Amino acid sequence: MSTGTVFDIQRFCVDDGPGIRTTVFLKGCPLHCVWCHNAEGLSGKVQLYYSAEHCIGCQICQAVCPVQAHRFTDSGHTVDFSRCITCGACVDACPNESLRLAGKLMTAEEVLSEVVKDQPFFESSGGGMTLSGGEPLMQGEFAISLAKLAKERGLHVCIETSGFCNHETMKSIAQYVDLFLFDYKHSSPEAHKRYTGVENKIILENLEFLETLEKPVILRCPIIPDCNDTKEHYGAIAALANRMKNIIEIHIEPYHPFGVSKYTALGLTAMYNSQEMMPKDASEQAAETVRALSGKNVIIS
Amino acid sequence: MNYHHGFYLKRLKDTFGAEFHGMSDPVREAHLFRKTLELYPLHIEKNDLIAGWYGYTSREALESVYVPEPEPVLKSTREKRPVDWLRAHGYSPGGYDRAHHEVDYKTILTRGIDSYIQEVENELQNSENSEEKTEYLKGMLISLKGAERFSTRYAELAEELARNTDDGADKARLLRIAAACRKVPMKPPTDFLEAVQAAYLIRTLNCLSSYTCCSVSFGSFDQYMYPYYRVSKENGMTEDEAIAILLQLFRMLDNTSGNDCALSVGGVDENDNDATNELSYILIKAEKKSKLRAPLFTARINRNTPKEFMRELVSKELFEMGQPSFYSEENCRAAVAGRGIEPSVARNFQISTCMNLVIANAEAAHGWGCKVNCHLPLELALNGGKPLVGELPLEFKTKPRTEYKSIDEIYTQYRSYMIELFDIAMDWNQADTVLQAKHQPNAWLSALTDDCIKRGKDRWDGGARYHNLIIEMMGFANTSDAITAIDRLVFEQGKYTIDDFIKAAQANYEGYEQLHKDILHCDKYGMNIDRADRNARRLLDINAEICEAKSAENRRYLPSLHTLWEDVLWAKGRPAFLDGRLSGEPVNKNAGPSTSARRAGPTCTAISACKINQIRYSGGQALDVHIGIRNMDSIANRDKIAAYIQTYFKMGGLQLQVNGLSVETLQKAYDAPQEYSDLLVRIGGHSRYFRDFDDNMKKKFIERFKIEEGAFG
Ligand code: SF4
Ligand code: SF4
Repeated sequence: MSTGTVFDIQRFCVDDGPGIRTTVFLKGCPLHCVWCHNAEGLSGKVQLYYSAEHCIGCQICQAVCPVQAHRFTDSGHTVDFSRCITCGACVDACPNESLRLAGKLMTAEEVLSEVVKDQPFFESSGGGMTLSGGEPLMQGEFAISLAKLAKERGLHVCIETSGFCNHETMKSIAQYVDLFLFDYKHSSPEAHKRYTGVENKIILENLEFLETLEKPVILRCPIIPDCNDTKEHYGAIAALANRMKNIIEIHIEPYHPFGVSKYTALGLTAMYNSQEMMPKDASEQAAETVRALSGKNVIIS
Repeated sequence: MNYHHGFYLKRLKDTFGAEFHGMSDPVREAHLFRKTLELYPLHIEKNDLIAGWYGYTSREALESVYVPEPEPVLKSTREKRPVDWLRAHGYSPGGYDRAHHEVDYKTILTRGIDSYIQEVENELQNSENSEEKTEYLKGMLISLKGAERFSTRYAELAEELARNTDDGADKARLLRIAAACRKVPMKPPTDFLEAVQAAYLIRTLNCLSSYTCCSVSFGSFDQYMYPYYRVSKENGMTEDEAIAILLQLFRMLDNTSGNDCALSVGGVDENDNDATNELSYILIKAEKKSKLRAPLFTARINRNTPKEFMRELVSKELFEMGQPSFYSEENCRAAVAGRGIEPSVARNFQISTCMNLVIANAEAAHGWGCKVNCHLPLELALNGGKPLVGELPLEFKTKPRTEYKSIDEIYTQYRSYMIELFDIAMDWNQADTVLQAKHQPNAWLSALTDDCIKRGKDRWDGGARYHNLIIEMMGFANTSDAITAIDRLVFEQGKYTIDDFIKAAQANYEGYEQLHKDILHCDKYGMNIDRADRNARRLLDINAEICEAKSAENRRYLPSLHTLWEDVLWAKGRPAFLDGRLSGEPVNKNAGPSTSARRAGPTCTAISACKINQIRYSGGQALDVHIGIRNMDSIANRDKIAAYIQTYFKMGGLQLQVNGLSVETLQKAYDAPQEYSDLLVRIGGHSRYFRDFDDNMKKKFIERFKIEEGAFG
């Protein structure tokens, strides 16, 4: 039985493919994009998540923790995440839901049984299941089992992927996926490596492979001020979309800072921690440029 | 500004009571109504297209009608009863309901009030009439004739204003009003302006006759107005002209009643084909333009409602105003038929106020009927016949017990207490209704209700064919969640005793933090978990059966999951419940889950709500969901919301209130995060619960939303 680590199952998602969708977030990502706003997706492991604003300072967590990860000093409650063995004792004890474990081990069947609860809405809206992350294909075998099971149940399946996975995994999952939401983060290989930690060669190969299968792709382009908000990049997005017939739509995803607090909650430091959202006219400008150059449907999401 | 109608009523009686002293109740009350219609200060505003009442515009205006020498006529004969003890524990047994009425506009417009006068006069000729009946018929006649005086006064005012203006266009406008008011509502209207004029005058008369504008509704306006609209359109009326008339109507409604006057669009024809028409779309346009609270815009959705129509209704502008409320044509009809009403009659149901389904031509509908505290019988069952907090010195026939082995036993005891509590409340309600209907009959409304003329009786006193009283099940989800928690933690896990639950709730869970947390982590209704949903259904079915069994003669007690805003207000005065709800915290809203279960999101909530046999709760209920889609301009997104609504109805839902993102919603979610724990917002292609943002981010998000989406209100 295939098992994986899931950090969320969100229902009534409207931006992750056609219709009303239930999105399953798988933990772990081989990339480390500096702007990532889903910090829970980075590590493949279960992690302690601490929301300081809910903490009432009762110190119960300190009392139950076997490894003294919680400390209370004059400056308040601090968590030493490096000590935490994610036993969950403090999570169970916390009276104010200030603590939780990000990530849960689940079987593919368990996940599916949650997803199919929304089937009536999938049917009426043309929706289905979307796999997301992290990078869902980092848990390749699990993702494939999920997609396969979903297909057996007659669900429409989407996957949100960076495309950074081995060719075999892409080949296997493609059989069960109706629509790819494929990231396109940077057009320059060096800059791609600088901002995401990996080169884009494998990613582009996988994208081309999907073209040979004629699998529909929505290109998702995060636009990050001072990283890739350039004319050259917009031109490259349009060129790619022009070249590949299977790219049916382009989504412009302007930077937003609403994920920054998650880093702190997980004991991490955001690499790109601008507190400002990308201005609306700048994202509209980006969309307009890509639209004009590609002639494809471009949406700001 | 509106002045309270109770004040008005008292002044009226104080002033003229002596003049009509010694007359029979219906004749005296009819004279008081007639006096109102003769004396009430009228005005027509600049640019008005129809004449209308903007409410009690000032205290001075109101006082100018009276001689200030109070001399009460009717003294309250109410006495203290066990019902007062129930009140202290969250029962609101209601009583005579002046508000919540709707008449059959279609028929009344077609017939004209003159034909009702004729009918009453004919009935007065009947030599077999009892004296009581004759007196009632006389009251009807005085009331109906008073209507003519009222509309004629408007005509005279318009004529006078026309004489005093040199502006030709203005003169024509005023003379048009005068001509309409000389004709309607006594004679049938022939075009759109006259028909709207007639409907508004009738509604005003309805309000004045009952001394309240509260929840006095319009029903399927686009359907019964369409023939008149077509005539005017054929005669050259433009869309803008139609919208201008409607905007004035909405403005007057807003002044007189806020948002409790329901006005519906959509529906089906006699062959069940979709009956959406041009006027339905125009009404939506007017509503979007008006940006007012009134009317309460309701949409009747059927299986074949056009996609286009759904797209117009699922709109950012309407959602930001909390409009519309969606109703399922098929399920509402089934619910009304479920009351034992013939299907051919049930299909004519109208939507009245915020969730009532009425047969407008033949019903006395007690819309804000009786609030029942669903949690109290559970307290009595588990705590040996006593409430958890305070006293309830009633002598119950139910034998107290404290030991239970299963929830089945708890349900049995629960049922037994509920029957007793319900009997006390309903017997009082009935006594009060009959008493008030006898002493303060409303002959105007009764004349417009089928059968009342023939019977010569008040609609509340056996005149109307149907007498329906809505029973609001307050806190049903909290109560069933408590049972689910007891089942798990007491009977299944043996971790706690029932006594632990009682002590913890009595202490408002202070010192019982672990138990509190364990209870909160149990399955809850609204999360699409069968075990919890089954308990909700079981509890409700017990209560529904009790209501149904109590129904007698033409009286029906209609179970409902309607709470309106009382989920907050009513709950403020309630102590802690056994489901972990703390003292003063809200209870579940309408058919929705308790606050702690809301985070399961709109799909789970909808599926759970449809596990309840909703058509049995024909007193009405809405399910309220939050859908945090920022981009409502996207047709694809609007179609997704439309699909959500249609799916809910396909699964058996009656009514759905979809709340979109607005600055107001976000601010509320900021202030009361618990109540908005299901608010998922979409940013950058990802969704996050608003509750999960830190304070700074929440503020930022609201700020940003204000700038980008434009703040409403
Ligand atoms: S999860 Fe366990 S180890 Fe980690 S902080 Fe909490 S109690 Fe300590
Ligand atoms: S148990 Fe929870 S609320 Fe108490 S100090 Fe720890 S984190 Fe804060």
